Amino acid sequence: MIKAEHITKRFDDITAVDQVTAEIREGYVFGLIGTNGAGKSTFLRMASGVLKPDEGTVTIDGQPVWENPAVKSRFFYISDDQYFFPNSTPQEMMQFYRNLYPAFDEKRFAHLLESFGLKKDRKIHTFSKGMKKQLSVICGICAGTDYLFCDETFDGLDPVMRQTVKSLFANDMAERNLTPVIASHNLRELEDICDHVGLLHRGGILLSRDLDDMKLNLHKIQCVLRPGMEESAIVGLDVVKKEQTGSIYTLTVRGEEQQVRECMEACDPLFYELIPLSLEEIFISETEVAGYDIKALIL
Amino acid sequence: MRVQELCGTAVMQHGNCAAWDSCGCRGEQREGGSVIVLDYKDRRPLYEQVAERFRELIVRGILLPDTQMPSVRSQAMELSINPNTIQRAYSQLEQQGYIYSIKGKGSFVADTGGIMKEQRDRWREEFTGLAQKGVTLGISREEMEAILQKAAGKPMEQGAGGRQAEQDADRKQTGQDDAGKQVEQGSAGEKREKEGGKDS
Repeated sequence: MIKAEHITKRFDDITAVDQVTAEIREGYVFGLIGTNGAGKSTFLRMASGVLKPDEGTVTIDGQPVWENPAVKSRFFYISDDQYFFPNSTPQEMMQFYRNLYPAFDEKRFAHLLESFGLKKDRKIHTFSKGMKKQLSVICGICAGTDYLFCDETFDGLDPVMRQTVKSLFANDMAERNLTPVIASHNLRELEDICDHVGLLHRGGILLSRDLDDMKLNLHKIQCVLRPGMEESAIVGLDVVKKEQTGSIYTLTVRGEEQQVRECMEACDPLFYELIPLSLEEIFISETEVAGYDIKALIL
Repeated sequence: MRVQELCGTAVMQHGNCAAWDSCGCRGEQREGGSVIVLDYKDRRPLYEQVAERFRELIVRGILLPDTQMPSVRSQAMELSINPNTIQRAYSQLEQQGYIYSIKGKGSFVADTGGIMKEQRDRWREEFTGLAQKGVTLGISREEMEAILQKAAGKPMEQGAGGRQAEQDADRKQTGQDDAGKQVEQGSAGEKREKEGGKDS
C-alpha cells in the first residue's frame, strides 16, 4: 500500500500540493483526477521519489520512497513527458530498464514491441508522439513492478491503442496483482477502469472514494412541484446544487438512493425523477462546490 | 452460433478491433467473440451492467447450468475493463444464486430453476395486479392481448430458456390464433419497453 501523509510541495511562492493525505491499496486501480494545475503530476512525482516533499512523507508498505532504490524498484513511473536517452533505440532502453528492474520480462517486451509494430532497432527520436507513449507503456508493463504510475498516459493514444493498453492492465492486474495509478482529466477513460478515485483541486484532495460509492451517493433529481408549493417544502435533503428552469427544479443531492426517494415521496411533488450522475458530472459538481465554476466566469 | 444470433447487436465489440492481435495475451487462444457488451451510455455502475448481461444470458438459457463462466481475467481483457469490476459482478451473481464457484477451477452457471420459479411467481402476482388495474382503467381485452402478443414475439421468449416461459405464455394466451401476425410490428415498441424497464 502506498501512503502519502500530509505531503506538501511548494515551488517558490506556489503551493502545488497542499497537505495531501491519500492511500493507494494494492490490486485496485487508483485514478487521480483534478482540475488543471491541481497538482496531479506533482503528487505522482513525489510518490515516485522524483521530487522530495517539503513536508510529510510518502511510504510504500511502510518504507519511505525518497532516495530508496529498493522501494523504487517496486514501481514504474510513466511521466507525461517521457525521457529516452538521446539517439537510443527501444532495445537499448530495454537494456537500461532491465538493469534497474530485476523482474523485467525481456521475452514479453520483444513480443509486445512486435505486436505493436514498433521496431526494436529504430531510433526512438524518429517515433511519433503516440509511438513513444506506446513504448513507455510497454516498458512499464514489462518491468514487472507492483505499481505503475501513469501520468496522462492515455492521452495521445488512439482509441484502439487505449483499449489495448487497458486490456494489458487488466491482464496484469488479474495475473500478478499490478496496481495502476492513473492521473488524467479524461474522466470517461477513468470511469471504465478505476476502482478508487482521488479528486485533487488546487493542491488539496477534495475526496477519495470508491467510484461506485461515489456514484451511489450523489444524485440528480428533476422535479416539478405542485402549484402553490414552495421549494422549501422539500426537506431532509442534503442539496449540493440547485437550478430552476420555470417550474422544473434540478437538484444535486447527497445521500443514498433509498433515503432520497423517501424524502421525495414524503413531500409529494407532481413529478420527480432520479438521474444517476456520470463521473464527469460528479467532478463538475464537486469542484463547483469548492469554488471552481469556470462557466460562471465566462458567461 | 446461438449466442451470436441472439445477441447480434451485443456481440463483436472487438470484432473489428485490430487490438486483439496485439493485446499481449501472449499467444493464448481467444474463445469466440465477446459474450457480453457494455453500453457506455448507460450510467449505472459497470459491474451492474456486467451482472445484468450475464443474468439475461443465464435466464434465457444461453448459458446452461454447469457451463464454465469466462475467467475474470479473460473477461476483463475482452472488455478492456478492470478485473475487479468483473469480480464484483461475479460476486453479485453468486450471491443471487446465478452462478457458483469452485475454488481453483472458476465459476460455473448454477441451476436457476429455484430462482426462476420465485421470479415467475412474483411476476404472476404483479401481472395479475396490472391486469386488474387495466380493467379498471377501461383497457379493452383486445388491447391487452395485443400487448401480450408483442411481448411473446420477443426473441427472448423463443430461446432455449423460454421453455417454461412458453408454457406460461400458453396459459395466458389461450384462444389466440393470430400470434404470428403482430410479431413483426412488435419490435419498435418492444425496444421502448426494454429501455423503459432499464430506467426503473
